[in-house]
Amino acid sequence: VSNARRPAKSTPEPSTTRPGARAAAAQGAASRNRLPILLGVGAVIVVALIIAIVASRGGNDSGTANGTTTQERANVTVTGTALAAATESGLIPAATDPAVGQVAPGLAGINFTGSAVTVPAAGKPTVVMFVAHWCPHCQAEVPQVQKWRDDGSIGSDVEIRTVSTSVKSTQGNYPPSSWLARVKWTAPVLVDSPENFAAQAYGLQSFPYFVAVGADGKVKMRATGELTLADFTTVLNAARS
Amino acid sequence: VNTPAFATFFALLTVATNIFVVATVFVALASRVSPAWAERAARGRSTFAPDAITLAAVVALVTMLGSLYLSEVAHYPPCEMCWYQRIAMYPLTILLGIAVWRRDREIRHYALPLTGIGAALSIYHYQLERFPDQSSLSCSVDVPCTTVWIWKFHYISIPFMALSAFVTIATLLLIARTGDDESPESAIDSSPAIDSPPALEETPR
Repeated sequence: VSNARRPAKSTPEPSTTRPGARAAAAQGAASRNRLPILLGVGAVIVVALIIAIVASRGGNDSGTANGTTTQERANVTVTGTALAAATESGLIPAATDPAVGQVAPGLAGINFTGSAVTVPAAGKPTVVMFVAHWCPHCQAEVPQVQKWRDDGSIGSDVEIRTVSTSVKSTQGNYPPSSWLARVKWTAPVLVDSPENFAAQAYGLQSFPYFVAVGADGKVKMRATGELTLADFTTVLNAARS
Repeated sequence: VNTPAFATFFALLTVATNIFVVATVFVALASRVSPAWAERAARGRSTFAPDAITLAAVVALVTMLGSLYLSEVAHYPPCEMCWYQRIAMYPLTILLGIAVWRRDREIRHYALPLTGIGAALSIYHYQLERFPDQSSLSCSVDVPCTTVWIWKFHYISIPFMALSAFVTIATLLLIARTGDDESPESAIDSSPAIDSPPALEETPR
């Protein structure tokens, strides 16, 4: 910084001073005030760093909701054949979906508090709903579905099974257990493995992801993205069929 | 020091730059209507103008290192929009760094367009985070730009940090320009078409 005030010692011809340097030299009187500025900027940076370190000291990455320890990821046992990747968006036409008619893979694992959960529900029509806590579309869709369940817009004859997948403690809205508790999500939640085996088995490509499974255990329809009530009803009806 | 601490640190730096920019804009506006504020503005200019390009270079460098920390150390994968903003920010580190070294006060002609483009990209990315439904109704398993990785003080996300950096650099470059205008050399300095070519042929030291 200081060398901006005067020409460097090694400059051979003083006459070749650049306009910018002349302008800087003309402000030589002001350069006395320069140290406080740089010190001030440095002080702001140091204070910010100290506050950040102190503020984050209390934080931790392990999932705790309402004081109870939670499992945000856990082993999942997968049985059966994996579904083809669901590359289309919205309601995927059953006629062209290779997964439709195939027996849905069985998932066995636990929920956030360690109780056993199986997907799909045995012998009942089921909509399996894959959500990622950090995905804004899941954050929008989950309360919608809960509202439809609560106000009777959709029947209660179709089981809803949620899979909390792609869990990353470094991303927003973590932990998913707190998020789903906050939006008062009532459907059973299966916690996916760190490798997301459950999502892989169901051919997940984007969130949120819905798979309608009939009472016979076969895939009836798949859909991705935020669904309207009409589209969600279509998925439920597919599971009922 | 862990990732949440760094996220808070970057957010606090963002708040500091926001305060600086808002204060600068306020003083600039007030100086137009009030002689007392015009005098304060002149004092502020003479205080900040000599160091403004150095400070702009520091902001660009810290922003670049911060983005590299988030992607390489914290392993937050940069989305497509993040990369476009990096394309606008990283050259500023080089341009402003060389400008400080060469005492080139005309760098704004090259740097301001980059800050403008970068700020526009950041604004688009920020509103995409706020209103994610406009790009698609689902999140892909790779890196969607709608995902919010850091959310501090109810308004700061990573693209907002980038926006703050771009706007702060632009503000500092404009402060540097006002400093030049007040100098006795302002007539020469404000005509880069005449002065810049010889300046390029001279070595700074």
